[in-house]
Amino acid sequence: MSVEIVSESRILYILSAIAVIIVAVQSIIFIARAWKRGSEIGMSQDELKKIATNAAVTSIVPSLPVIISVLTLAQFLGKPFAWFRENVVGSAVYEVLAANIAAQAQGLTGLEDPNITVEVFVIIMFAMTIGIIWGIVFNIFIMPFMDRAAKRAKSSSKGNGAVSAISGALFLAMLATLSVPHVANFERPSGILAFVVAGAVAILLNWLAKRTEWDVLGEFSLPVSMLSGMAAVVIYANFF
Amino acid sequence: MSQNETMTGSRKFSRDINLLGVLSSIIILISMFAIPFGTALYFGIDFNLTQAFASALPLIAIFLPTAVAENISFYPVLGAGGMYLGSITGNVLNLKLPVAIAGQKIAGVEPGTEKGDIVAIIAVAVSALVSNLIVTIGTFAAAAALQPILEHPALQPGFAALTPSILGAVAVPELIKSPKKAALPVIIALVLYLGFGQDWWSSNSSYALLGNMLVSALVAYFIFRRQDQEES
Repeated sequence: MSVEIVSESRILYILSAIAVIIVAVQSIIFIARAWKRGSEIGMSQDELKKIATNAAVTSIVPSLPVIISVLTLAQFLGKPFAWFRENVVGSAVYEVLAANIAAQAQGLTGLEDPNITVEVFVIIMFAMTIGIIWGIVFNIFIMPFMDRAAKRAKSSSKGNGAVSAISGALFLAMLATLSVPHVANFERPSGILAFVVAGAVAILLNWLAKRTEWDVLGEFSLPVSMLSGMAAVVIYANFF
Repeated sequence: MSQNETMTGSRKFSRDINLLGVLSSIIILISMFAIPFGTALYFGIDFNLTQAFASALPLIAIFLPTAVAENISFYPVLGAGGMYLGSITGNVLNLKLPVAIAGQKIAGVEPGTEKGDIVAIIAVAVSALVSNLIVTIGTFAAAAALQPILEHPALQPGFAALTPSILGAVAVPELIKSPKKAALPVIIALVLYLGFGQDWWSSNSSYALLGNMLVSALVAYFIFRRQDQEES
């Protein structure tokens, strides 16, 4: 039996589709519960719709490169599994890397190795699955306790100010640490350009939104700024 | 709504979200493992579990510590609900975290509050649904039309700059808004990155993230305590 028969089989399509549908249903249930609670504590329908619209619009462009990642991975692992991986847990960077590591652990040179058998193909699927589940496992065993402890700390009146100060520090430290490899990597000036232009456009849009009281500028500041950063890099790469 | 009712509702919401999160995480784990096991069973493929675990070990060694560090690090912004969804749908750094922060900004709510958690859940879930829809259409219906555009050499640098663009749009306004509070974490991150270099960062960024957050939180706590003592 060839790997292609298995990797493009109906059963793999069905099993992958079930997993993707479960994720979609989970998202819908979470939205419904959060929307209900938001309404209960005075968040307006308009406000909640704005948040959802902004998230939807912002998600369009970052999802496009994922399609290429699926198509690349599909050459080796078939369309259904590649599609499932990029929709559930995976990220474009992780998937090809993980598949290659799993293939190499089976004595192959990599995913493109022609000696791949159906047995190895199933092992690669299993290894990629067990490799990526740890965030979910952490959430099952630790998250409820972590969340409860954090909420308890916040609810104590003495702790409230301290928690607020700590939350602010955590937030800024996270943004600073995530940003630094892009803004301080002088070997990759396009990353610095994208970061700076996107940041400058975001500040400009927020300022304009306040000044003109045209809220829509602030609401769509993220997708517009993101596209501006990417556009600046396209112009820089093609014309300079 | 009275304060007592708000507290009860808040506790019930938190309990529901954790219950939903744990249950859906277990269900998705089962469905994920059903793929290799179900395929092996259906085709009668010999599946050697010991060999499979041996193959998975290098991946576990790389991704287990990263996953733990990231979940702890992203929790203050995404809350429990956002984390359950983010861990399952992936692309947290590139997409879920930025849309949650943008949503909290639009609503004018702080991360870590109940409203902040509600916004994070809606933003992360909507983002996951839209992303799934686009990837599904792109993979099965529009691959031939989209591939030449997405792989066009002129546009490639733009897509390669997606992460710095989205991070710049989110981080720059926030860091500039609170320059005094942002100074310490920015300096720590810069010293670590420039001191140890890109190669070290590539394999240790999760620890750098967790370490910077821990130090910054401790310093913020001591400053708060000192100010509190001075006031009283």
